[in-house]
Amino acid sequence: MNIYATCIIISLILYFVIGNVVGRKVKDANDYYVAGRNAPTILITGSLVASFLGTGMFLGDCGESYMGFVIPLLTVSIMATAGYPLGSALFGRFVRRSEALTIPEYFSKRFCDKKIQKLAGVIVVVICFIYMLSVMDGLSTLMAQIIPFDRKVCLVIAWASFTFFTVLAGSGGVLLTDTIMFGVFTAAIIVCVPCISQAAGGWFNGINALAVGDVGVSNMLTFGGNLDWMYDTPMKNFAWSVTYGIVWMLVVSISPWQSSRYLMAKNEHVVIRSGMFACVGVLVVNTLVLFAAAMVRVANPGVEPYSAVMVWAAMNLMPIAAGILLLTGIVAAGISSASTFLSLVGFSVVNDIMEVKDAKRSLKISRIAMLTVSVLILLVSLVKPPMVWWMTQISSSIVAASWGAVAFGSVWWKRITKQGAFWGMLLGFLGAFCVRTYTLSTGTTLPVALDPFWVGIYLSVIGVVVGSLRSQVTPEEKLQRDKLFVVPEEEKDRVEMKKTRNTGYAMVATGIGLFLFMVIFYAYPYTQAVQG
Amino acid sequence: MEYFLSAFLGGWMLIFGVIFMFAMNREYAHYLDDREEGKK
Repeated sequence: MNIYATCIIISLILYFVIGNVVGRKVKDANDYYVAGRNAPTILITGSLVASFLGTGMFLGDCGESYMGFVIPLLTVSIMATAGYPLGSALFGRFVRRSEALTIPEYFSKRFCDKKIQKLAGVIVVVICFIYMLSVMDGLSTLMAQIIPFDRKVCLVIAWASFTFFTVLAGSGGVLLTDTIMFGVFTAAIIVCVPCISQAAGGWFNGINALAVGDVGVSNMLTFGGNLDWMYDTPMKNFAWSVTYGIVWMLVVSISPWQSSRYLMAKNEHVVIRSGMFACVGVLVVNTLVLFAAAMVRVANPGVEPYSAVMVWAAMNLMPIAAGILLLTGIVAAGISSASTFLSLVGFSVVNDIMEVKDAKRSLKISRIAMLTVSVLILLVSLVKPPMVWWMTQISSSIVAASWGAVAFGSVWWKRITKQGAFWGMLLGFLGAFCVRTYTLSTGTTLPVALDPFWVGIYLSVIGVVVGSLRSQVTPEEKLQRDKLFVVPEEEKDRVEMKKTRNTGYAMVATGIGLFLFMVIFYAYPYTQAVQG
Repeated sequence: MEYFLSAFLGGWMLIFGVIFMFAMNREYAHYLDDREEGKK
C-alpha cells in the first residue's frame, strides 16, 4: 500500500476513535439529536462548512472547472455563500427558539400540525438518502484511485468510516469530527494552491496560459465559460449561474443539513456569528480550489477522468506531505457530509415519521434506524443502479423549491397558515421533482426560466399564497409565531449584542476584499493577456 | 465583462453585509435603547 493510502486509512481510524470517545458521553436524546444545545461558534462553523463541502465540490465542481467552467461555477458558489448570514439571521435563530429537535419538528410546532412534520420528514429522508448515494459514489471512486483495492472494498471502508461513529455518537460526534475535517481540508487547500500555481509557472503565468495558451479548451476564463460545456452563449451560461447561485443560496439558508446545525448552538449569538464565519470560510475555500483546479490544465490538459483532477494534482504536482494533506482533506470532506446526512435521516425517521416520544426508546431506536438506513445505502451503492447519477441531480433544486418559501414565510409572513405551508411544500417538491425527472430522462434542455427550480418555486409560492388565503390563521398558530419573536432574556447581553452586530463588518470587508482579489488576480491579468 | 463580474460578485457580498448590519443594528438598538431608558 502506498504512503497516500496508508495515511488516509490512519485518518479514518482517527475519526472512528474520536467518534467513539464522544459517543460514550451521550446520555439522552437531547445529547444525541442536538448535542445538548451547547455547541460553541467553532463547532457550528466547522459543521456548517464541512457538511456543505463534500466530494461534489472536490471531484464534481473541480472537474467541471478543469473542463473550462470555472467562472460560472465561481459565480454560483460566491452567490451561494450569502445564504449563511441570510439563513442564520432570518431563519436559523428563530428555529433555535422553537427548541425543536429537528427542522420538520420546527414546522410542526410552528403550524400546530403533525401532517406537515411527516411531509417534511419524508422530504428530508428522500433528499438525504439520494445525497448519501452520491457522496458514497464519490468517496469510493476517489479511494479506488488511491488505495489498491477493488471499488466495492473501498465502498465498504468508506461506509464503515462514518457509519459507526455517527450511529454511536449522534450530533456531538458529527460536530466534532466535522470541525476537525473542516480544519484538515482548509489547511489542504491553503497548501495546495501555491503548489499548483507554481507548477503552472506562477499565478499570473497560469492565468495568461489559460487565457491565450494552448490548453485544449477555448474560453477557459471568460465570464460565460467554455461554450461547448452547457449552453452555447455566454449570457445563457451567466443566466444559469445566477439561477443556481440563488438555488444554492436558498439551500445554504434553509436546507435541513445546514439549518439543523443552528439547533445545536449554545445561543443565538453563536448562530449568527457561525453563519458569518461559515460564509467567509466557504467563500475562501471555494474560490481557491476552483482556480487551482483550472490551473492544473496548464500542467496537464489530459487528466482522465476529469473529476479526478485534484487527485492527479495531489499525486503529481505537490510534495508528498502536501499531497497527503490534500487527499486526506478530500476524503474528510466526503465523510463529514455523509455523517451529517446519515444523522439527519436517522433523526427524521424516528422523530418525524415514527414519532417516538419516549426518551430512552428514542435513543435506542434512533441508533437502530440509522444503522438500518446506512446498511440500505451501502447495499444500493454496491448494486449502483444506473439511475443513481440522475437521482443525485434532483436534490438541490428540490430542497430549495419545496422549503424556501415555507421556511422564510413561517417566520416573516403572519398570514401563512398550515394549509398554505403544506401545499407550498408539497407543490414545490412535486414541481421540481417532476420537471427534473422529465429533463434528465428525455435529455431535454429547457430555457433557464423553466429550470426545475423555478417551476418548483413558482408552484410553491402559489401553494403558500392560495392555501393561506383560503384558510384562517388559528389562535394557536398566531401564538406560536408570536413566541418566535420573544427574545430570550439570556440573549440580551450588551457586550455580546455589540460583538454580533459587528460581525456584519466582516461581510462588508469580505465583499470589498473579494472585488479587489477578482480584479487583481483575475480580471486585470486576464484582459492584459487577451489584449496582448 | 470580467470587471463587471468582479464588481457584481463583490457587490453581492457587500449588499448582503449591509442588509445584515442594518437589520441587526435596528433589532439590537431597540433592546439596547430600552436598557438605557431603564437605567435612566
